Amino acid sequence: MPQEVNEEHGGTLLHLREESMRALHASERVVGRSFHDARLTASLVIGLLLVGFLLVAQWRGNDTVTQSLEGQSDQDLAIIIQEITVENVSLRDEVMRLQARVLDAERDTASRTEVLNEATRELNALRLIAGLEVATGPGIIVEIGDPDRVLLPQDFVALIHELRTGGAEAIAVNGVRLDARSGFGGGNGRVSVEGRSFSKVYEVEAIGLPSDLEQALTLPGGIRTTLTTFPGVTVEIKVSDSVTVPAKEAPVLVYGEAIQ
Amino acid sequence: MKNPLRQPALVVVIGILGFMLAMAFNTTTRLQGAQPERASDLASVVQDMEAQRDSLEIRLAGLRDEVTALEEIAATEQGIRDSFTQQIEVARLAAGLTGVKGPGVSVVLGDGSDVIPGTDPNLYLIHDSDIAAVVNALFVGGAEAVDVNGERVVATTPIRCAGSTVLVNARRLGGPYTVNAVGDSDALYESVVDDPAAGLLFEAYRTQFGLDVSVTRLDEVEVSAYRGSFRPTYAVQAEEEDV
Amino acid sequence: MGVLVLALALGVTLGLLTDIGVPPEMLTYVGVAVLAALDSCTGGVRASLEETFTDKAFVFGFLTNMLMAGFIVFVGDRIGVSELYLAAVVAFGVRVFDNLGVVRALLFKRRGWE
Repeated sequence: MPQEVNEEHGGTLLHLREESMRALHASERVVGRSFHDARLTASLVIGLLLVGFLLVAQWRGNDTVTQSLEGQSDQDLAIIIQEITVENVSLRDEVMRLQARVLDAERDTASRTEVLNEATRELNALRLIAGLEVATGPGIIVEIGDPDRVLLPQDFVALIHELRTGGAEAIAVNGVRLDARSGFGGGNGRVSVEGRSFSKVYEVEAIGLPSDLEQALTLPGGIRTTLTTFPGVTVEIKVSDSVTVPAKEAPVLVYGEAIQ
Repeated sequence: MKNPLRQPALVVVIGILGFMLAMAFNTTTRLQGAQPERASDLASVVQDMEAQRDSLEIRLAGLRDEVTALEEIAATEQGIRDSFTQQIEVARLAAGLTGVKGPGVSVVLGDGSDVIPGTDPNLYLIHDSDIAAVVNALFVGGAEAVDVNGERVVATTPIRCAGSTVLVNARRLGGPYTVNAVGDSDALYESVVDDPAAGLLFEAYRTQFGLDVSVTRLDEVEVSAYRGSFRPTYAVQAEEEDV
Repeated sequence: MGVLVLALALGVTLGLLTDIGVPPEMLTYVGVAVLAALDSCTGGVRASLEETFTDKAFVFGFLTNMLMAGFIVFVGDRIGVSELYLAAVVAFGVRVFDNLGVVRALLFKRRGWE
C-alpha cells in the first residue's frame, strides 16, 4: 500500500480504498481469531481432559495395596513372605488336627470320652495362650536395669511387639502375665501394667523358641540397641529351657458383648 | 527449491540413530529374558500365599464350628454340656476368638499430605509404632477388645513393619488405619488423647504434619474375632508345684 | 521429510534384524549416546528447515555430543557420582524438545498450517 501518497493528490479515493482494505483485513482477522480461539479452547479442553484422566489413573494405580507390593524391596517382601509362611504352616497344622478330630468323632467307633479328652486338651491349649493357665517352657528372661528411671511405657510396648514377632507364646513382666488386653501405662519413671506399678528393675519372661526370641531383640538397630542408648539402662538376655509365667484371671466383658 | 531436509549427512546419521536404538533395545530384551524381574516374582509369591492363607482361615473357621458342635453333642451325652460349653466360651473370649460389640471408640490414622519439600517424608507417615502406641493407650484405658483394620489384637499379636507396609498378625495392612475398641467411650477417648506417645499424633503431629487422624466416640462399635491360628508349640501347662 | 523417516525405520529394522546388542555394563553409555544423537538429529532437522544446515557442523556436532555424553557417564562412574549422567540426560532432553518445538513450528509454516 503506497504510503507516501499525499492525501491532497486525489487521496480521498485512495484513502477510502485503504480504509476499506483495512476494514476487510480487520474483519478477516476477527473471523480468523474467533475460529482460532474456538480451536484453541477446544484443544485446551481436550488436553486438560486427558491430563485429568491420566492423573486419576496414576492416583488409582498408586492406591491399591497390590500396587504397593511392587514398590517394596526384595528384603521387605522376603520378611512378609516369611511371616505368612509361618502363619500358613500353623494354619495348616490346625486344619489337619481339627479335620482328624472331626473324622474321629464322626466315626461311630470313637467313644464320646475320647472326643471329650481331645476337646479338653484343645481347651487347655487355648487357655494357655489366653493367659488363663500357668505356662512353662523354653524361652528367654530379659533383665532390664533402669537406675535413672528414664524408660517409658512405650519402650515396653516396643519390646513386647519384638518378642511377639519372635514368636513369644506367653509373656510376663515382673511376674504379671500379659494377655490380649494388656497395656503399659505410667510415666515419670514408672511403668505400670495390669494395675501394678514398677520402676528401676524389670524382669521380662517370654516362652518360645529361645533363638528366635533372642534374635528378635538383638537385631542390629533393634530394641536392645535402642534401650541401651538411654542413660544407665542395661539389658541382659538369658536363655533358659524352663521359663514359667503365672496365670491370670479370665477377663469379663463389661461394656461389650460377644457376637455370636 | 530443493527440499532443505534432504541432507545426505542428516539421512545417514538418522539411520545410525535408528540402529543405536535397536541395539539398546536388543540388549535390554536379552537382559530381561535371562533374568525375569525378581521383584515381581516375589510379589506374586506374596499374593499366592495370602490367597492360601485366606482360604485356610475360612477352612479353619468352618472346622472350628464343626468341632464345637461335635463337642457339644459329646458333652451333652456326658451330662456336662453346660459347664463344658461355658469353659470354652470363657477361653474363647479371653483368647480373642469371639467378635465383640458395644460402646467404644474408633480411631483413624492416615498419612499426612502436603509434604514440605526438603523435609523428611517419614514424618508424614503413620508408622507401626504409632499404631502400637494407640493400641496400647486403648488397653490402658480399659479396652475389652481392639482390632486394627479388622485384625484382632490378641496376646500373640505383633505390630511391625516391613518396609512401608504394616504387618499385624502377619497380615499386610494399608493406610488409613482404623483402630476400633470396645469399652467406656469417654475413658478410651481420654486415654488415647492424653497418652504421652499416642496423644502427640492428635495434637502436635497433626497440625505440624497434617496427619489425617481422628478419635470418635461411638455408641456401638464392632471388633472382629481373631481368625488366625493358636498353637502353643513351646509353652505347656505347668504342674502346680512349678508355680 | 519422508526420506528421514525412512532412514530411521531402516536403521531400526537393521538393528533389530541383526540382533546386535551391547554388553550390559555399557547400557548407560548407549542410552545417553542415543539421547545425544537425538539432540544432534533434531538439531540437524531444525537447522535444515531454518536453512542454516552445514554438513560439517552437523557431523562434527554429532560426534562431539556423543563423546561428551560418554565422557560424562565415564566420569560419573569413576568419581562415585553414578547419577552424573542425569545431568547429560536433562541437558540433551531439554534440547531435544526445544528443537522439536521449532521444527514443528517451521513445518507447519511450510505447509501453511497456522
